[in-house]
Amino acid sequence: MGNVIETANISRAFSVAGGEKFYALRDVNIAIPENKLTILKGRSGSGKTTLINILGALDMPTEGKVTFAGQDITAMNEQEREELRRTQIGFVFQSVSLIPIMTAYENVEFALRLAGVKENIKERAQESLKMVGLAARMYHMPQELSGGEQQRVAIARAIAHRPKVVFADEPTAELDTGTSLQVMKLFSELVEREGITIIMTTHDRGLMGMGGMLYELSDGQLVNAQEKEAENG
Amino acid sequence: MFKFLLSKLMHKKWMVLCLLIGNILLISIAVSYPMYKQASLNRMLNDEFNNYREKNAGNPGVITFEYTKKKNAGDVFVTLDNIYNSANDAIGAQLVGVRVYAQAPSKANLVNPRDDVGELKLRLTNMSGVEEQVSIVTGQLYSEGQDVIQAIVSENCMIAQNLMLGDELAFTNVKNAADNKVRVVIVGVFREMDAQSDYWVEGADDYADNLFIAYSDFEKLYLQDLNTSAMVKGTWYTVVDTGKLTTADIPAIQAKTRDYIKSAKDAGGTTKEPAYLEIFEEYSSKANRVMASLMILEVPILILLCAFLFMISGQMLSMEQNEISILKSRGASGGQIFGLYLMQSGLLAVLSAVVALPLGIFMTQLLGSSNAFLEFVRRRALDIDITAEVLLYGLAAVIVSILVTVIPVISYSKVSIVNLKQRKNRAGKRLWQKLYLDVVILAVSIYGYYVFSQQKEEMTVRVMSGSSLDPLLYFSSSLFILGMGLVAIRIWPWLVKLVFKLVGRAIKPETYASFLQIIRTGSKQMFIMMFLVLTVALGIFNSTVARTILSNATQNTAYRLGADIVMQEKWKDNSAAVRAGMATELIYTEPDYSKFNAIDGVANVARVLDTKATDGARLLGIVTNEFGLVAQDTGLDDYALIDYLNVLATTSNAVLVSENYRSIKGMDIGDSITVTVDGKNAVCKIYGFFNYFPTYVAKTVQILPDGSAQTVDNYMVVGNLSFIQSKISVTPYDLWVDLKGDNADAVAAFIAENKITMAKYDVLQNEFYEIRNDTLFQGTSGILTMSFIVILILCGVGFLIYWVLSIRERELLFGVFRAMGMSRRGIIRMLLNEQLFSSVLFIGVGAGIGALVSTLFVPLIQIAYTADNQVLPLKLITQSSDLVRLFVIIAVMFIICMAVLARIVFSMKITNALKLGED
Repeated sequence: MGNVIETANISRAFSVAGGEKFYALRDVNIAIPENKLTILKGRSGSGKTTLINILGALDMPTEGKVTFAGQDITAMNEQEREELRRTQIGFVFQSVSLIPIMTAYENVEFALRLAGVKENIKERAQESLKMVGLAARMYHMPQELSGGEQQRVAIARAIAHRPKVVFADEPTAELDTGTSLQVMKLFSELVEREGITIIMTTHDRGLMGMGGMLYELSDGQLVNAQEKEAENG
Repeated sequence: MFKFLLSKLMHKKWMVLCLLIGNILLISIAVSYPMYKQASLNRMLNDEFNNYREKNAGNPGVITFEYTKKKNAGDVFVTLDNIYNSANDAIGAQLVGVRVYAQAPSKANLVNPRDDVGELKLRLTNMSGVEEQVSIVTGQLYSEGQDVIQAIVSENCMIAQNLMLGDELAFTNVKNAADNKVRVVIVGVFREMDAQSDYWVEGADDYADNLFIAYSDFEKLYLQDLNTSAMVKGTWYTVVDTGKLTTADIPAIQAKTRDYIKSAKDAGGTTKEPAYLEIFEEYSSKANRVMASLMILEVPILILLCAFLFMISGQMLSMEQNEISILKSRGASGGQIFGLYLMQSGLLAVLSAVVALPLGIFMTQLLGSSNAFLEFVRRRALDIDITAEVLLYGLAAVIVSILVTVIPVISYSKVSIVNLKQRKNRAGKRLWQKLYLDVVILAVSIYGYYVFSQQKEEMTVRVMSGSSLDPLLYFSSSLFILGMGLVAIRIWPWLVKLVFKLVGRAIKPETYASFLQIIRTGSKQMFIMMFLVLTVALGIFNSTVARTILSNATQNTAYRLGADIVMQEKWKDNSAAVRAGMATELIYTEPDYSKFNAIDGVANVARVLDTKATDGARLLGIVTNEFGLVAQDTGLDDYALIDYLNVLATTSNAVLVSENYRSIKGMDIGDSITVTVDGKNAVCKIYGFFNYFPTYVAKTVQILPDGSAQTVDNYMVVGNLSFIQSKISVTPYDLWVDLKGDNADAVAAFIAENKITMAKYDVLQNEFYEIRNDTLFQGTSGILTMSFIVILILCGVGFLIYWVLSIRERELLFGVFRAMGMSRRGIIRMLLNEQLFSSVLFIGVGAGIGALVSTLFVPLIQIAYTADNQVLPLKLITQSSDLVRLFVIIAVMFIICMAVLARIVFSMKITNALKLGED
């Protein structure tokens, strides 16, 4: 089994007042294994969100190189990165990021439309919602769903177009412990049953035990990397 | 709290700026109304006085008492003199008093007779204060108490009585105390020091038989013993300086003048009312009508400004609802939050008022210099006072502004963070939709329209008899715009859904998202839609009202006058011989009219005999080929004017007659008709009927003394001048002059140079000038122009701020779209599509409603302006340049708005946008 993403010495610097530079990331080398759940952990401000944004082609490193499924995304232009995000990447955000004017079903369907999927849109959207266990509530508007339900719709939306990688930035930050565990369980199932690669960030220690690959960041630098088997249940 | 407020305001500086703009406009328009009212009414009053002076060559401020003392009735003299002396206290205006005592004309002879002077009839006269008001031409001023009384006389008296300086006169019947004949010597000749002075109620030359002597001399002869039988006439002139009167003085002056006159009358004097009393009456009814009409015109723009403030303040609140709910959760009471916003509104309103007052003065000057819609000229500036009324209006505007901006707070101040989240994104049916208020409003306005159009004739009569148009009429037009706009908003979602159905779901994802956005959140945008409809529709309506009213008035005036100049030279005649019994028939000498044709600047001159036949019909005698070159074709009849003239030219006794000869008198083509003028008959043959012929007015409404109205049918016969002259006689005819340009100066100069006496001289441009200077027309174009400019500003600012801010609210969502791989162009395409189906659509709806409301209501509104002048059918004028202005502004705003949006979208960092959602 190979790595779907590899980075080579990536750094991300921000200019701050006074012309100085602040490094959110410094010389990070990381490899994301395919069909595994990878967890990026670290305290707030450790650089994990910056890293996940770069891996997901939302942001660019100031130095270094990122290879996504064999392609150098740091060499891509804006259109190519948009294309990559539409077709090969799915995002789940920390806060509820559903489109408020669309029903659960429409939110999922919209991701398929954006990815340019032309056939069996309906079936695929329903299937994704079934996968996250929300088939029964798919015609509800986001504000009619609970926080956990909304996050599950977001996950359905992220996986509907069968991306290579799903990125999840603190997907459980706004959820209670029980719901968080359910979301984590859903992730594990998706990895195991559907063979999806998932990368998520979290600072919740209780959830870290579930990953296949664990990277720990501190002050923008990688301080720990370990691979472990998922504990069942 | 105040510090917190200031930092909050600094944070929202664009919103604050918008609120300030709205407030400043609201307050300055509100204060400009009383300013303009007061200043223009003073100007109007002044014009009335000037008109009076021009037409009557007299002073409108003169109050006259007269009393002729015959036998013994000296007391009246004293009483009247006392009343006259109290004038300053009684009337209290700036005034000048003149008292003239004159003896009855008495026989007098020169002491050293001359051949050319016989027995004279002269009057010893004393005029109070005359010593200071004359300049002595020759000789000197009299000195009092001489044995031979010294007198001065006017130049005209010298000539009329054939007197010389130093002449001594002896009165035949006037004796002094010593019972000697009174002798007078002429020591000086005077003229007025200032002929324009109010002192000279009668000019010096009017005193043609008066020997002016000193008071003490006059007193010795006539006033020491008032019970003598000598006849002395006293005239007391009290002259109010009308130039200094303002409208505010009217009620007091009216009452005091009446009391003053009454006391003189009660004392036994003969009194003459000053002309200003009548001028006041006329002025007051006119002023009320004008001001009511102007007030009505201002109301829609004030309402629009309130709507603007309401919208912006609502928008600002919705941006701050998080802060409000946090404040609530931390224990702030609803009252405290309300107080905070009250302070904010108060601060902004008061700040605005400081700027608005000078701006209001500027606007008022602008109103006073408006010439036509969106057109200004240099004119004498208005005298603007900051009166109590102005401050009152300003205060009222401040209070309204505070209310309007604070009302939305009430609902927000009750919401805490808990129910805020529940409220978000909820877009149900509004109350007005559930109650079908839109349909009700529209129905009321249509009913109003129906009622008013049924009463068109009664309205004409009412306006002619001095009352103003029913404010409800204007209100109906505003309601109509509002109702139509709301109905459009009700229908709109259905329309968008229909389009969405038609285009199907196989559209670009961004287009798909934009349709869902409109359909699901459309009701949130109702206010901006309504605002767009109101601004565009009102803009078009205002422009149409202003343009139509002025063009209608000028066209009717041009039609009724007939040509650029209509004039008549004073013809020489043998009237002296007729009076002396040397001739029986009045014969005129026809002057050579062709001399006017030679003036540079004159294109053509036509002879037009305009007279009345015995039966009351108007008879117009024309020379067809001349007339064709001068008269304008209205294009309203079945045939062109030129065709009518050609028919007339075929036969010498052919006539064209007004349509009512057929419809009322049952005549037909080929019938003969006898026109009688001064007992002479011309038998003519009808060759055609017309509805419109230059100057012809088919019906006139007359107001009878009892106030009721009567419609009179007017008949007119147009025939060949030579035929009429041969059958009746050669009498003075008018000359219709067609100028090469507009300027009639060359003709006026020619007349002055050749000392031609004119019996009639009417210039079309002068009448146009009068229309444009009329307070009603001027105020109307001024206010409509001001409203239009305000509409342009509001439309621009409102559109920009509303969209930019509501887009900012959706930044997180754009971040999500971008993360999902939607391109920047895609987002802009999405917003464009949204705009197309919301703003652009409603600008179109506004334009449609504007056109419709103009078509319906302008014909009714113009009644207020040309009721007594309306002959031609009304033509709606919408000047395309106004529409271009309106739409260019909208387009510019739209482009700016899109540029701002594009900038937001292009500079947006997805990662930052997403962070917005992390709370």
